[in-house]
Amino acid sequence: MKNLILFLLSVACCQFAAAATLEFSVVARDGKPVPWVVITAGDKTVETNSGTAIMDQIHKAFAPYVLAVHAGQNVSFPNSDHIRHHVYSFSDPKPFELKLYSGEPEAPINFPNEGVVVLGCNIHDNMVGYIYVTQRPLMATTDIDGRAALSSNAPVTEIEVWHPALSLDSLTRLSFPIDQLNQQNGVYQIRLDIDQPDPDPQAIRMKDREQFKRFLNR
Amino acid sequence: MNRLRTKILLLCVGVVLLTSVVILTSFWINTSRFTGEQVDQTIEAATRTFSQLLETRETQLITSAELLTADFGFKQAVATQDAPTINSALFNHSARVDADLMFLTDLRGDLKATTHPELQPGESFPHPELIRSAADDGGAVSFVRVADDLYQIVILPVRAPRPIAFAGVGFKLDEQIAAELKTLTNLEVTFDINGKHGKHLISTLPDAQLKAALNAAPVVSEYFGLPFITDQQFVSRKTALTGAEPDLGDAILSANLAATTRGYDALRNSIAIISVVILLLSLLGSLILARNLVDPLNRLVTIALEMARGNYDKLLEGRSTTTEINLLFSAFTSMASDIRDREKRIRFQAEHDPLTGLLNRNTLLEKLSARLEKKPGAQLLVAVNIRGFRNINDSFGPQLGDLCLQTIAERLESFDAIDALHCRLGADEYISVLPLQSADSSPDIIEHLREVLEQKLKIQDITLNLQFTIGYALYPDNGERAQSLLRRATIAVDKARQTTQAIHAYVNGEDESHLKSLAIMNDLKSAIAGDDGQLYMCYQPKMHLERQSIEKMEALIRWKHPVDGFVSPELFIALAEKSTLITELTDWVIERVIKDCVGWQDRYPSLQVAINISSKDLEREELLPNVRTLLQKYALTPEHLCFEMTERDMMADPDHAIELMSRFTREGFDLSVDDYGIGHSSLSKLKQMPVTEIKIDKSFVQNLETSESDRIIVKSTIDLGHSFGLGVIAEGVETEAASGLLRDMGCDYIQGYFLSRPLEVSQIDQFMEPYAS
Repeated sequence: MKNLILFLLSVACCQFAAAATLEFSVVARDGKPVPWVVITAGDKTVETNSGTAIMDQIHKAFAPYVLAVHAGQNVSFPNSDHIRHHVYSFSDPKPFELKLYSGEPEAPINFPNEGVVVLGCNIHDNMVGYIYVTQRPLMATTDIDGRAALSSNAPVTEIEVWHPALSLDSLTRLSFPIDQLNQQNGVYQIRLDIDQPDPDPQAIRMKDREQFKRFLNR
Repeated sequence: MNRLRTKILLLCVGVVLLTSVVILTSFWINTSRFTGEQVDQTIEAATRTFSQLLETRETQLITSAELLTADFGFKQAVATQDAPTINSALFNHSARVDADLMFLTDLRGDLKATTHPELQPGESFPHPELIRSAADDGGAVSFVRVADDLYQIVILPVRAPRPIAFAGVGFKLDEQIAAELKTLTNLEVTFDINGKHGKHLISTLPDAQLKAALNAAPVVSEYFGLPFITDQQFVSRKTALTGAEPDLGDAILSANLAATTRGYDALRNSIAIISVVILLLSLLGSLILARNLVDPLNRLVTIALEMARGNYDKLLEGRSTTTEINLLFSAFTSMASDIRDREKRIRFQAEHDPLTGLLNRNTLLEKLSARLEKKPGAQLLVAVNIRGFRNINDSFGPQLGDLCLQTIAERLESFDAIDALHCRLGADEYISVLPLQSADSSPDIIEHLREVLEQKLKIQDITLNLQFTIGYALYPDNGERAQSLLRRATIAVDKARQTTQAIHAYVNGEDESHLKSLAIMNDLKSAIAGDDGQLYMCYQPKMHLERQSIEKMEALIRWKHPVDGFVSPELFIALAEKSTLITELTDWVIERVIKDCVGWQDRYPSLQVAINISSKDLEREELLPNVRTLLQKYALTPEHLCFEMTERDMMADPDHAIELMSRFTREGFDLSVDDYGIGHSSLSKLKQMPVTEIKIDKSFVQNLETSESDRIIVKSTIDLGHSFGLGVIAEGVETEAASGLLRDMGCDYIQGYFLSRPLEVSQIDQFMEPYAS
């Protein structure tokens, strides 16, 4: 029945557009929307023709907080602050280090391997950012309202969902067969078993420290 | 032991003891409370210090852990899982921060590297909850047990920048921290650690004191400092050490009380010593005080007892160091002399006549008795009266009378006699006791005494020639007892006065008749008062010779004594006249006679009754008013009564008598001169006398028939009386011949046995019958 409806919907959509668009809404345990969730779908392929993505550093924070790229894609790390940064990552897919620099670094960095690359700044401990490298053709990142959309010509049977708070090491990804997801008004509903994370990544880091201080002053 | 002394001692010692006990008790209470509070505060402060010390170390741990986890190289090594590098970094860092323990775990809590052999890489960290806490809270702090030791550890995540591992840094709870804590708090510190293989102790205390400290109470005993009750050396308080697991052990803070105890003992001992010293001093002081107070008091008691016995001379040479005691001694001395003087004065007054200073009667009797008990030689008791002393008093005033009495006393005292006693009995009566020497004769001495006394006496320009009546009695001739001797001397002087002798020596037997007289007087007195028929009146009729009628009677008193029978009127009247009893007797007679007269008024209305009165009666102011009152009472007129007085009484002091008698005649009474003819009254005086008749004495009448001279006397007396306008009565008429002679001589009335003897009232009517007209 669900398939029939999906089929009918897709038929209807096909009448007006060449591709079908899947819409998602991600919420946390408390039902609040979760931004920065990367949703990917499609069979793993290698596409290298994508352009250079940008992971900027603005006001001592990575911007965006989460950047989803295709495997083999180049990412440029411009520094928009007036101070210097020392960007590094110890993550397995691409350990690298951009020692103290300002402005545009010499060259973008290529991320050939799939996986989660955690970004930090050796000077500013508070700065955390993620580059999600995927081999799947379809990818989207939820906005501030926890919404994202995937456009696909081919039918999508399964999606992968990732968010840094899903595990302590931020490596965990979840797979959902698309037909098992609830839909509301044509929007697939995804509920993540996480606490509502602060949308501001810097604030998250600060919150950790406050907690510890409170703990120490018990 | 003296009671006052005991009291003073007890008071002083008690006060000191009480004070000492109070001070010691207060000292003990306050000290033990103060010690308790101080130790409490110290331990509480130490507990806080301990907790602060742990916090400081915690901060150090956090700092050093942060230092480690923030190291980029270290992060890189951890991220790349470069085990040798990680290990070397741990050891290096632990040396740098002086940590006793360092370890690294992965995010699951599996150990990757450690500096402690007990923790092996590959094993799970024994407290996963701490890892979780570090992950959730950004860090964890706790005590953990590793092998037999306790560590204070901090676990922080290693961020790159997301957590990639957990690093732990720890300090061991060891002797060093105990020593540091001891330095900070001045308390002994012991850690009682529950190690994996059993308990063990880390302590700043030497082993010898450890047990005592660990078993000590958590507070200072409330009996702290009391010897034999408590011997508390320590106060120990436990703080449980908890962390990842409970019951890791205890931190024990022990306050050593030795110093406090030493200070306390020293203070207590010095207070005790001071108390004992004060006690001894006060004991000594109170002993001195008691002696200063009690000894003089005892002396005063002795003195007071001596004084009570009348011994004032053994008085005190008591001097004390105390002013008050000295004042008391002075007061006692002055009191003793005052009492002695006063007693002397009182005794003198008690023993002497106040006016003359001679002995009084009682004292004389005492002294004489005392003397007679020793059976002395002959003693002469002389009683001296001043003759007519009342006249001196009346003429010159009592003041001069007193001077006179004093002079006589001086003369008696100056009389040359050894061991003489002189006494004034009262008024002008003196008694002297003169011891007789063997050669002395009583009459000579008495005569000598009289000469001395009768010397001219000159007082206030008045020269008096006093005359004395003297009576005396002799010891042992006239009596052996003082009382009777005194009485007999008095009787002798009375006798002398009665007989108008100057000197009368007591004759044995006079006392007895005197006593008899006294008895008669007593009986008479009660007879008058009782009016029980012992006394009654007889009436002897007088007949008018010419008219042969009974117109007058003489009232004569009779006394029938219930025991002695009839008592001679001469006897008891004479005795009564010597005392005041005569006035009572006269009063009785007058009333009796008036009553009888009233009884006769119906039958013999013109009968006149004559009543005999004495000169003493005449002197009484109240006699005439009494008679007047009685007459009014019984409704009788004065002409029924006539008063008879003897010629001798009248002529003793004629002028005075005339004046007194005039009062009677003015009242309308007849007056008759009794016993006329033997009183040698001068005719001129007789002429002045306000009398209405004379009564010729019976001594002239009785021998009328035989004596020519008596007839002449009687005849001339009758004529003389008539020539003065007086009626004449002859009494003692016993024969018809005498009666006839008297009628011939012109005598108006006769009275006597010839006519009738005195008649009792019941016989009057029978006698009067023949004469009824």
